[in-house]
Amino acid sequence: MRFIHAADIHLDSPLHGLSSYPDAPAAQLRSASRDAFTELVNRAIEEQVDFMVIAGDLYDGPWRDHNTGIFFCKEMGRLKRAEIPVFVLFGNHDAESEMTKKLELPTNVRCFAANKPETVKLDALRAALHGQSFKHKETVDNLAIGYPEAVSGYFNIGVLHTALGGYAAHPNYAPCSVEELHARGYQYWALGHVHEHFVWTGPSTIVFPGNLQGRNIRETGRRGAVLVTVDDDGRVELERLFIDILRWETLTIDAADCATLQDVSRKVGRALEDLAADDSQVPRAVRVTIRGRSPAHGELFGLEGQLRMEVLASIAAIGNERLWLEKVKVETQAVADPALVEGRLDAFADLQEILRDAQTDPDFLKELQAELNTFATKVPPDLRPLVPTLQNVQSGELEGLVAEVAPGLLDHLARVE
Amino acid sequence: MRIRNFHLIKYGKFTGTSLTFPKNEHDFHVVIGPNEAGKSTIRGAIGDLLFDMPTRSGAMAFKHEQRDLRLGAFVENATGELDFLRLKANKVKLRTPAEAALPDTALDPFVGVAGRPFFEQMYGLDHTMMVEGGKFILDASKDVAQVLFQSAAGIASLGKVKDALVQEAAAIWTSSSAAGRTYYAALAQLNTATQELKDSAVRTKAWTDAHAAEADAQTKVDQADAARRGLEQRRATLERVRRLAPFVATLRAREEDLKTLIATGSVLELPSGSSTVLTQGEAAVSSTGEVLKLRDDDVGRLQGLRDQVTYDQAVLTRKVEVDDLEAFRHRVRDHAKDLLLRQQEVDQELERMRRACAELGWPDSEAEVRLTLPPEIALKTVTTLVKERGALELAKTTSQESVDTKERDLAAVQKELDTFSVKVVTEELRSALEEAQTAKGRAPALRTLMLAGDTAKQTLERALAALGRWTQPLAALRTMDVPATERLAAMQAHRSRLVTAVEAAQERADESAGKLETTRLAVDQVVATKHIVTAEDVRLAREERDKVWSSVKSHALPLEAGAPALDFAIEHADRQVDVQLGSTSEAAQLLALRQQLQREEAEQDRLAQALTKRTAELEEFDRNWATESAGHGLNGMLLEDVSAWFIRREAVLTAAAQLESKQAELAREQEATEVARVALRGLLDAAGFACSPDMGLVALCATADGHIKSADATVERRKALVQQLDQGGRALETLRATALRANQALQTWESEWAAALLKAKLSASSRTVAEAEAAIEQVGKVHSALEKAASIRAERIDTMNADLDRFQGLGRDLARELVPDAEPDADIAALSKSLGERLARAVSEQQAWVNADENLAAAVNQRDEARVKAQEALATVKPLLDAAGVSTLAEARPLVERSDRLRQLQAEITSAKDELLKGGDGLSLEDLVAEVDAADLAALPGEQDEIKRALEASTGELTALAELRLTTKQALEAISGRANAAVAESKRQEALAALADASERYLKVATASKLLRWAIDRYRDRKQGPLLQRAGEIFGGLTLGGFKTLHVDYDKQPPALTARRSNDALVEVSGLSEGTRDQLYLALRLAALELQLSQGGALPFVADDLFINFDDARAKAGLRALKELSKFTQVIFLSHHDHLLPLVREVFGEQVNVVELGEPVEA
Repeated sequence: MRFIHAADIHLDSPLHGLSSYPDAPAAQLRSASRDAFTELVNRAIEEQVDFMVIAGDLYDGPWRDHNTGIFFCKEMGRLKRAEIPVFVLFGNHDAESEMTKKLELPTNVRCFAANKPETVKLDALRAALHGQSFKHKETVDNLAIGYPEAVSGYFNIGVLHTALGGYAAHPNYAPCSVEELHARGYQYWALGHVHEHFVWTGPSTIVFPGNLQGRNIRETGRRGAVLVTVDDDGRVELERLFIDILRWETLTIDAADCATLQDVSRKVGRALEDLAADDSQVPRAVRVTIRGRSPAHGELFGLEGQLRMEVLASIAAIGNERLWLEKVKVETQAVADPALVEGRLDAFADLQEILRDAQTDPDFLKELQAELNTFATKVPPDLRPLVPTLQNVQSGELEGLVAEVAPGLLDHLARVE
Repeated sequence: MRIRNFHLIKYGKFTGTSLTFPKNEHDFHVVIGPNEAGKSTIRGAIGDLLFDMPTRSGAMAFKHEQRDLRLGAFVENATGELDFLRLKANKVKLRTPAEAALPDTALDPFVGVAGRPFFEQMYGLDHTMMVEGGKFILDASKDVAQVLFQSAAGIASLGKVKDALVQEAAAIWTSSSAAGRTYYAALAQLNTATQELKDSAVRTKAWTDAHAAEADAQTKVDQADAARRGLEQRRATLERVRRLAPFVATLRAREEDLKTLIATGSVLELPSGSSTVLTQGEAAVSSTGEVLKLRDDDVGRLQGLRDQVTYDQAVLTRKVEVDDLEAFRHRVRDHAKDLLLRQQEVDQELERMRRACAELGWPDSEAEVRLTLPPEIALKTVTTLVKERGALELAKTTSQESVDTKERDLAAVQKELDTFSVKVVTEELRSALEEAQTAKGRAPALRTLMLAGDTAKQTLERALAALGRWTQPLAALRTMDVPATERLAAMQAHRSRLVTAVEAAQERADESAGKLETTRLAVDQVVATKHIVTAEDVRLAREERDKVWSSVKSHALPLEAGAPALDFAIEHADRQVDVQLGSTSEAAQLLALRQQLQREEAEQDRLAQALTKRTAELEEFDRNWATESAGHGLNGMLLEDVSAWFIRREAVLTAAAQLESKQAELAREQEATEVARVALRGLLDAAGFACSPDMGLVALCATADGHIKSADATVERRKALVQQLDQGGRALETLRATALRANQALQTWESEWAAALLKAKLSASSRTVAEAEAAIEQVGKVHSALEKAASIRAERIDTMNADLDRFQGLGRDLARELVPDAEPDADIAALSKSLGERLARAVSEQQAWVNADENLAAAVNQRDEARVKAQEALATVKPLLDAAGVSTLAEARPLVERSDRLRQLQAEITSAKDELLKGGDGLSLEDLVAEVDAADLAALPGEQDEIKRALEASTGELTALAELRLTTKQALEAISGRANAAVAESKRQEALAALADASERYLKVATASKLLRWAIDRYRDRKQGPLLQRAGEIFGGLTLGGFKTLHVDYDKQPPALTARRSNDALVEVSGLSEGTRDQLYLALRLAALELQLSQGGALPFVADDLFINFDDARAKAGLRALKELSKFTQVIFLSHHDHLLPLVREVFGEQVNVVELGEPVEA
């Protein structure tokens, strides 16, 4: 028996944090979640699996475009023509979706009920699937304890959307423990909700397949589903199917040995080439973070825009269709220790002291807030969660911003010709 | 930190150049040299020396390899000194002069926390930077804070950075929207994408509604379709009746005709087309008979024509041989003429042969000549010997000449050797000269030592003078009891605390006295201005009243006298009570003031006591110090001055030690030089040179050196002559052997020559080599002529004769067969030509016979075909005649006509039925006939019109419903799972990301801009006062008193920097000339440097050609400013202006250290 276990597909969910620029592969990747799902269906047909399990969060919760549901139905239609049944369980994101209620799904799709756990037996395969969809978004009850007893002589698969004891990155919905799942007597637990890939073995094989397509810089690395093969003795073999269309990567560059912006740019270029050479079929969204105590700290502070342009030039040389720059974050520090600057006899020592005082000077902070608030009050609401500093501006908590900017300014001033 | 010695060992254009910067009263040093002498290189080299050579030192590696670049220096400061080398290396970059590795941190105690940028900004200043600074001051003249900060920091980029930050922030966002700004561009994208999302997203309810609408429209369309189908059906029925009614009528008429025909007799059913067969058969039988007759006639005629043609068969059978003979005839046609020409050529060659034979004296017959010809090898031998003869003669002559020349050379050498004498020099003299030259080489060092001694002496004198009235002999200074530095510092700190305590006590006492006086004044004012009755006053008034009453009551005071007094006392007491009650608050105030006064008086007493105590402590301390200082011989010296005095004393002791060291070293060097001189002079005397006793070392060295070189030259010459003689003797023997071999070789040749001539049969004609060469040439001609004659005979003449013979043979053979009557000696060529013509005729006649035969065969074929067609015509009608039962075509015709009538009627009946079924829309024949019979044909058109109108109405309705269905279907299909909304949301997120990037950068840049502005203002607040005061003083000096102070005019907004002229006029920066602004910048830089240096930690200040555009007076003023700076730190002044040197000496004294760089700079 072979089946595909997927979860957290979040169809039509957009990629976050990627700003477009003239040569960015935006048009190519705007439908990444759809393309990944289509690829998943392709693989199911190619592998001729016996069935597919989707363990929750098929759609994004707030997403209202019914076209997404229609698209899902069409893809399910392809599986129907290939005679592949699909078992869908709704999680926190799709529990209250209007689409979930109104869609007319093809007959090969079976959705688990939300009011109580139910069991579907596949006699030809000697397999039984147990599952219960979320009724409400914020389901915080332990659903696993209500799951039916294992069907004797069958390969029992528990389908569950759960945070499994709680992961900081995800709300603690339908909590339960690995021990509880092992104790249920099932052979396989097809879980969803946690976007990373995890596997526990023991009496049961418990699997989070991870989400199908990374959607932001926090979801780096390879993504996809799991192909599960069960032999006649009930032994389980897992194979990860990497079907993501765009892969998120972070590239951290130590600029300690870079004297100038050009040096940094060259080093970033080399690292990008190495990145592109690895598994080069999949386009990447890259965040480049420059760190370390660097002689180029001041120059980078003053010329962040130029650095971004040079990184984009490196990407163009590699191939714009292969890399999409998410952001260049400059987190370098000045080489000179502040204590050493204090020992200098020139005005920079005074300047450093003054800049340090500025962090706690109420008058300065008040003036700065007034100036920045002019901007902060005008930005659209959607932007506020993306730029935490805006909240700091409005609440007047600007010490951190000043502490971040001051050393760069000082070094920049000291090094500009 | 200062540099005492600086060595440019391998660096830039320098190799082994050393610069010395001795410490003087003013640590000022001039390095002077023309352009390209390397001054700028020195400035950079100091940076490299102190802070490492940059990774890419290509600019300084044009003469030396990068890896060889090397600097050295001796640096010192109050804490120590270091002699070191700086290398261009990756690992060990610092070394001792003895090449021992030093840690990279070895220079840290000297350069402190300074980095190279700091050093170059603060301690380096050249003319370009000064001019740039002046320009900047003008640019920022309205921003005092920026002017001060930038000048103090020594950076020229502050304004640029500030402007760049402001510009970058503005390029991202300002409160006014503009598409060009990054933020607004992203915002526009966001708005567009949001609208796009709204337009393309479809709610589930919208889909449900669209789905229901589409289903409803479909139902209506189905109903309308059904109604229309009913109308269409009725219309079809009516149309069918109208269409089929005529066929029903036809069917019935033909069925009647058929019955009538059968009633008139039997009718044969012959095959259809029998009539046609009958007609065509009659025509075919007639025409084929006529054709057959014509073809028979043609065959007879053509056979007669063919039999008349004949041709020559005999010649045709030998056609190949006749053609070959004719071809052979054409080929040999010109052979007879050619044979004559070839024979002439043979004769010409034989004639050439005979002429050559005559030269050689040989016979002229060809046969004899061929027998006489010498063998080829003999001729080659003679030729080879001829070639060798010249070389052998030349070898013989040359080798003999070489022998003669060498013999003459050796004789001359032997003669010179016989008369040569050799001078001898003792080893002692050589050693003495070497010593003396070493001593002579020390002369510059000696001069340097003498100079250093003088300098040290002057330094000592200046140091002693600097001790002032507490100066003492050196011995006393050395042995004087010096308090420990730590103790001195502790005492100074203690006294400082005492002074501070006294000042504080005095300040507090003064403050308390002020307060006391203020309180007294307040009390007086309250008393004077307020009528206040206190409880005490009331008590006193009541006591007075009671006292008077007691006196009256005791009769001590008579009633008459006491009554008025008592009344007054009672009234006074009551009045006092009234007043007290009315001035309670003033009284309380006065009481409080008086209590305060008491407290302050007490505080005043306490503070006065404290002041007295503190003062006493200070005085006690000073008395103790006076006693102690007297003990050190420093009677009257203030404690504050004593540290400086001890430093000056250290300087005296250092200078004394330096002087002693130099003097001792000088004495040692002088003694060593004198010893060497005396020894050399003694040995020269012994060698016979009369040297005066006081002859100098240089002259003695020259004499000794000349003597030794002369003697060594004689020895070398004799050695060379002997060697020459030996080598010449050996060479002569070799030359003689060579000459002998050449002579023998010539003799051998002579003997071989005679034998070779004989073998070549040339002895008779060749006595000399030249004759032999001519004879060989003639032999060659003979040989050539004979070969050519033989070749023509064999290849041409013989071949042609053979061809002619074969032609004759072939011709005769053919003639015997084809022309038997021909003559035996007939001309074969003519015979061949005749046979060719005969053959052509035979071929032509044979072709004519073939053509006639082919025509006959064709006519026979056509006759056979005509015969077959006649038989076929008869066969065609045979079946018809058989079927009809008759034997002729005429009998068959009436039977065929009745058969055709029967068939026609049957066909028309069938056709009518077929038409009915074809147009009957699938109904049976019976149903159709019944339908037509049942119909009222007269009413048919009216009913058809009615149905037509109903159908037209139905079409309109259906069209509208179809549009409705299409619209609803399209609306539903629009929700087809397309990704427009998802793509729009992606675009929205992209725009948000761009907005976030822009916002983060804006907040950062705006904060940086604000921070910089604020920091500059704070710097001004903190530093402006002392910096402006000192810069004003320096500026006054630089402008020769043209300006006296610098101010900030706060009446202006923003406050402006102004300079006050000597006549008190205020001038803003923008009103200063360009040169004066440069000087203002220099003043600000020097003032900032001085202020900072006063905190300690100095580095050498390198001034590079600062006064290029200064006149002498201003240059002198600039030097004075640097003189002041040189009190605090070492100043190295680089210039290419020689004319500045007198000014420098005028300002710094004649002893100022001047280092001159010449051309070239290599040491």
